[in-house]
Amino acid sequence: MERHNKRYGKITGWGIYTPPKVVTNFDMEKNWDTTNEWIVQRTGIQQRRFASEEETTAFMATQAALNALEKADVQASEIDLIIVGTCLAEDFTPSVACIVQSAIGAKNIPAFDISAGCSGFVYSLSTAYQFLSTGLYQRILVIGAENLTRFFERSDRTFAVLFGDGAGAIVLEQTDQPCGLQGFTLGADGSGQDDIRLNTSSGLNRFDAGHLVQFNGREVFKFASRILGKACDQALAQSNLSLDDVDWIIPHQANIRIIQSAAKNMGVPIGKFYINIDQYGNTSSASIPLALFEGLESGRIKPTDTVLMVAFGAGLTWGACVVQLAPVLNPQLHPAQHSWA
Amino acid sequence: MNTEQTIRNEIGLVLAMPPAEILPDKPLVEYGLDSVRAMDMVVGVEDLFDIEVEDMEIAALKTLNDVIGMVENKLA
Repeated sequence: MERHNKRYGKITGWGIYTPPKVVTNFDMEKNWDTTNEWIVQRTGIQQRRFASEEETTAFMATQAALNALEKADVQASEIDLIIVGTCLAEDFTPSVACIVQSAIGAKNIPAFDISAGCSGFVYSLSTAYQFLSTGLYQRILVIGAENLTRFFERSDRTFAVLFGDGAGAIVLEQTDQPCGLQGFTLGADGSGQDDIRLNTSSGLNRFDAGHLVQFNGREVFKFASRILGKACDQALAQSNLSLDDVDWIIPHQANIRIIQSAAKNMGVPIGKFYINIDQYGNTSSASIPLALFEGLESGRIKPTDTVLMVAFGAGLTWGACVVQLAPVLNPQLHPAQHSWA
Repeated sequence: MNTEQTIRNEIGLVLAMPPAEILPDKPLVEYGLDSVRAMDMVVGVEDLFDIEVEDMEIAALKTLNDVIGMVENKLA
């Protein structure tokens, strides 16, 4: 990837919204034929958040966006573009992004959703960087937001225990200092379209839709445990970097066992993966920004770190991007080669 | 590395136990193999030997020897 004479993008703000309703595995035991032990062993999940009817996808996306804007000290009027990665808006149209635009007080700027299953945030972030690098837009809001539990309330335990709701947002700002996206890969295999399907033939209302989930667990496991490593390899090759240059791999938080399998297949210690699925479950497009936020706020992810975000999802889709969070002092050297890094 | 040792190592990784301690005919479920770990094991074996294991075959893989036999049949 050409890294000279181009514009760069720095993540200057990050924010999240998670519904206050915490549903633990013990809560799930009361309504489903399941146990805490079963869920923890097979998924790594201990609790998740359930959105109320008022906490729509757009509402959560908006709250996350406002928090990210505040962190970046950027006004909504300064934003040039809004991209939301999401599987499921409340309505077929308008997009979540347009609702967010109005809610935060931005006017007339382009706003659109990207539907790429659980890969939505990586697709959205990679797309945002393209607009930044051309110089067309200087400040972009990138959001991952999902409200999927409404689909699973009446399905079997396999789905009901897996998912949670939430949203994460970042503000991406153009800079001339080398940082930001180092390389990325996006992909899709439509022949796997039936492996994960949320059928909306009965509409999007939560009370109609519980039985319309199609999920081939074996195929998804096989696909996911392989594609995580392949996508990481491709994004690193694009970046001319190796895994040693990466401080954290932030995977889509679908299932701890998939992440463990991928780590085994990649020959990478599990400790290099940032994992918080135990707290939120699978929040689809929101899982990576939720993890990034948590990591940055807790200090586990440092402002100078290089992170490798990697996701897979329905479609089937996948994507990975290597992002250097802070500018590089000497552009000839990767931050990992600086003594201060 | 021969087929048995390769499979031993893979199952050892999946079950987080020393490969040498896996008894050939002891049910893998007694070492902690469950449906998810079985998939993990199958993905690993498929990639290591460039073979494809059908879903229906997975249930028959109860012991280390079962896995070795299945792989050797496919490679024959």
